[in-house]
Amino acid sequence: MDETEKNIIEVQDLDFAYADQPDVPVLKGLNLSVREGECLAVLGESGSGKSTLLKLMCGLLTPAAGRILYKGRPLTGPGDEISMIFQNYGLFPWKSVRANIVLPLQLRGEKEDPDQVDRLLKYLGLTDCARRYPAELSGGQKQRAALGRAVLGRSRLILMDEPFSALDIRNREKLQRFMKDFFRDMKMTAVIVTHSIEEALVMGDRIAIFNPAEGRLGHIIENTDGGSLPADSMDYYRRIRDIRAALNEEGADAV
Amino acid sequence: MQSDNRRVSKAGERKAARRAGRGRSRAAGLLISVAGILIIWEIGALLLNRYFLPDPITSLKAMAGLFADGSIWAHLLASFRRVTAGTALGLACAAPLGIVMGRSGKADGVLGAFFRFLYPVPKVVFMPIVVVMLGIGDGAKIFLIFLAVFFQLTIIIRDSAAALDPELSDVLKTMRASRLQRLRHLILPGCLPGILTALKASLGTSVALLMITELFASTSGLGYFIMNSMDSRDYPQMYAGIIVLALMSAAMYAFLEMLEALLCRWHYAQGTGE
Repeated sequence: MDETEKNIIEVQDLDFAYADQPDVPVLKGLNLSVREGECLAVLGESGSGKSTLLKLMCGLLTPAAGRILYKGRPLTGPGDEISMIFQNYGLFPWKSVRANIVLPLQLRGEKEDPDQVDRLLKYLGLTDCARRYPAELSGGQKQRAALGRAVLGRSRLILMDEPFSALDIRNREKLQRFMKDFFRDMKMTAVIVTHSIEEALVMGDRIAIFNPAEGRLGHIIENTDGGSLPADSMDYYRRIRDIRAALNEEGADAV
Repeated sequence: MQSDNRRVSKAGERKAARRAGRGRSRAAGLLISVAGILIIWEIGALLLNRYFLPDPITSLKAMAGLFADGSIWAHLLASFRRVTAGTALGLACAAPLGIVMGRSGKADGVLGAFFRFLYPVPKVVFMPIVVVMLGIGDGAKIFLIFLAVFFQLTIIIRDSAAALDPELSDVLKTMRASRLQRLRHLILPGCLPGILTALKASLGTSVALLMITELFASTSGLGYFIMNSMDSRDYPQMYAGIIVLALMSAAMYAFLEMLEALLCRWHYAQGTGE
């Protein structure tokens, strides 16, 4: 198999600057490939352009130069197979959990299969909250609802912006375990942007380190058995040390 | 995860109990304030003992008489029609304009100056112009109420449209929602609490405008009825008219609150925290 076929999305020589500050490049010559079925963690400090990268990858923003290939074809705008889960989960406060989850189908004019929705709600542990409004949910429940919406919309690639930032430690670990299983069960590819080394280490099959000064990705660290944390605490700390070293080299200042 | 749900549902029960408690205390509050007003009125009437302040019982009896012989209905309906027509017209113009101004910086830049200039001007100063142009009929009265309500509503709707979470707009973009779908799923539901608050806030203004327009060269409406009773020194009837006007405003306000409770339940939904 040729390399491009294994990659679900490829970012090539990407440049980007916001229209109101065209002289301040946010991303410059950025290259990144995401393999089908993996969970890639992009690690870097807050405000370094990681969220911008996600918005480019889901077609919300258009690159100034370079290109993004989705399954080998140039990405021209938002599509059904790529979902973005925003930092505040992007749930509509006036819609119930169920109405939020079926929204992508509703927008496309497709009929929902109520049994499928019920099964999904059960899998997500949201059966009892299906009729509640997002404001009545915990952070973890909101995150699961957002994941459910992406699945029901038949997304293949999920882009997540700081998915655990609003959660306390206990719920964060619970959700991390849930998400690892979720991506595997649903055969989804995920890109997670985070500023936390621990999160990157737990979630990422690979960890890409963002270089804020140059607006590109530096080291990419393989973290193949990541997530089985921390069976061997020495190994875990060695990994943290390696990532810290890589971050220092890129001039990033992560937690 | 299960314990998560249990915790949330327990909190839900607590919230329902709190809501029921709130309902009860609101009813009690209403009862106490009505009783308070009547008692103060009665004491005032007793102390003053003058013809221009009849006691509440006399006034309420006069009101009952007006409803019994049917003479107040025409005035009540005329006033109600003017307020609702003026407000509905104001909303019909303010909602699209406010939404456009709130969602587009360009539109806000062009129209904002116009609103900044005219919003603080009390619309009652336009009354002579409106009377000269439209005469003294229903049209002029409705138009004046419309003017007052329109500016107030536009400003509040613009602000609530501008305050919509840009993240939600992005979510709809990633789902390739059409303009109409954006309006339906984001802008209208997101602006609805603001619209209802604006309607509640403008109710006082529109009833005040109503009163003023009905004082002049009018032959119908509660404002006319109250002034006419004053001129003929029928004070119990004058107070009865004032009570009817107050009850009409209170009923309209209660209707808006009911709509709010029905349509914006989510707005008051609260998290349980984690």
